[in-house]
Amino acid sequence: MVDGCLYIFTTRGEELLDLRAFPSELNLFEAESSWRISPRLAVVEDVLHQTAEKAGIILQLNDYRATVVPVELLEGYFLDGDEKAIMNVLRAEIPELETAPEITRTDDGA
Amino acid sequence: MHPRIGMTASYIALFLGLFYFCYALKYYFSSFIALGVFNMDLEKAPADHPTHRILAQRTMTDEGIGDGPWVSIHLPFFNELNVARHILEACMDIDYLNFEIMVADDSRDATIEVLKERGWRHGNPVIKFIHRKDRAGYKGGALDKAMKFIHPMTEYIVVFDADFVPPANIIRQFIAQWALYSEDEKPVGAVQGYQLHYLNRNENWVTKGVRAEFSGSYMVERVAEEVYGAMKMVSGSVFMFDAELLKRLGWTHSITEDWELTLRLYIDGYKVAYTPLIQAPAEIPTSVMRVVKQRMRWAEGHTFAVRRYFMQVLRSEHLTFAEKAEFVYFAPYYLQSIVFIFGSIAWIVAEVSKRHPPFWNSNLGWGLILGNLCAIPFMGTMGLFLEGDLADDYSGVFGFTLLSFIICPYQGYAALKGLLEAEEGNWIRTLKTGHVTDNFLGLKFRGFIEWLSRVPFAKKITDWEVFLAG
Repeated sequence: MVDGCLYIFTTRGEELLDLRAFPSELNLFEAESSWRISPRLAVVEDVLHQTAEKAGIILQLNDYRATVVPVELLEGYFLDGDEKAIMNVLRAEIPELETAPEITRTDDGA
Repeated sequence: MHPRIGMTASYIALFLGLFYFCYALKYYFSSFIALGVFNMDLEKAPADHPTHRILAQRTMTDEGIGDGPWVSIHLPFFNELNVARHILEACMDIDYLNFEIMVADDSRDATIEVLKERGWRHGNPVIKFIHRKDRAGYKGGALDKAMKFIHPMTEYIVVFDADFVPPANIIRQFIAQWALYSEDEKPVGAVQGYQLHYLNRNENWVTKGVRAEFSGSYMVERVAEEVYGAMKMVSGSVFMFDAELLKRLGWTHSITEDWELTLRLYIDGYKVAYTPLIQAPAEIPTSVMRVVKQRMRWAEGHTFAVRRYFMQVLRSEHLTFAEKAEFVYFAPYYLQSIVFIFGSIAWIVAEVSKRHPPFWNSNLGWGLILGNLCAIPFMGTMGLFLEGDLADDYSGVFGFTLLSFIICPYQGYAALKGLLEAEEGNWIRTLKTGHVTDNFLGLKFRGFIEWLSRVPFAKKITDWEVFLAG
């Protein structure tokens, strides 16, 4: 079952995790999947629910956190790199944001 | 042999030979036009002469060219492990403020591991990687997907194939060149630069040959086309395109997406500007079969697109007479191979049977063949001469001549296929090896008059004139 896109967003001042942290069996950033990477946002399209859960565990181990952000804000950030809109949403949800990098998932995803 | 067969073959040879001679004439004329352009005294030339624009980069400086318009550089990748780092590093070194780099990747090999390296994510300039899980639409499909993710303020798209190494000032050069056409009645949709196939020119006779061929095409043929306002092609790499126009036209899934884009650009009322002084060095295919496969794709895709857009181009009110004439001329370009093959066979049959029309004897026939044979090598020689590389690269002219004989039947077959098939064939990739035999250090062009003044007989004449004056 295809659940949607996985968005991995990293707040300013932090570096996006090494994408080789995901085993190739998950088929996230591999040849047979569609993905995008910008300096602080990585997106994998058409991710299975089960795969997303496994990816979530790896992300948590790398100090990322799951949250929900409107997909249009994330896509807008991928285009222009302006994080203001995303940060407004995240600040409302995560008080300690200034120190913690984030993982966000689409609102149409699992 | 029956006399009628010999006579028929002779007329066929004459007809096909004259058909090919139309192309040969253009190559000869283009050579002299280019010679004139690079030797023109610009101070004495009329202000509206196209040479001013063609050679404008000679005197331009970066001063006054701001970092204003947002530029998105697009790099289509497909298994580019040997060259990926080179072009990414070259693009990161580009001296411009407002630009992003977008890699449209379809790779199935370890290129993906290169793209995942953290070193590309420092954010200055921003590099975006767009990987597809399939190759739908080939290069055009990948570039089409990349278009969906460009920065909203993007005004221009610049495209480089993966084996190119763009110089640091290339965006400024493109912007400055574009500005020269801002007052034109017919708007410019794209500026094409010189694909300088140079980096491994000394690898073998094939690379030397292709180097000579490209020199003829970019230093001579396209320069002449710019002078007389003909249709010029967007050639897949080293060009800057109007972003809004490209959004509207979109990339198609043709195996020659660049040629199809060119046709739709002209039908839409735009034109392509060209200068040989914006250059990006690139790698050259290293084996005969790689060149053959590349040219077969070009021949098939080109002919297929011609068939598809032929009437639209001719009926369009947006194209000038010169542009339509160039299109008609260029339409059967890759079918020249068939003309050449059948013309040569027919002439040999005519010679064996010793039958010729009364107005066309054996000497004239061989003269026509020789004139046709020498046209493209002459253009290549002129291109190398104008670049100041003839002494180093002259052997490439012979290599290219031999290569063109080998390519001929393959190219002819592919062109016929493109003419007759219902759907285009598949994209066949040209492997890039990453070998570099020659570093490209910068522009160098030779003036004919300057060169002439250094040859011995010219020196003697000068002495004699001085003697008389004394």
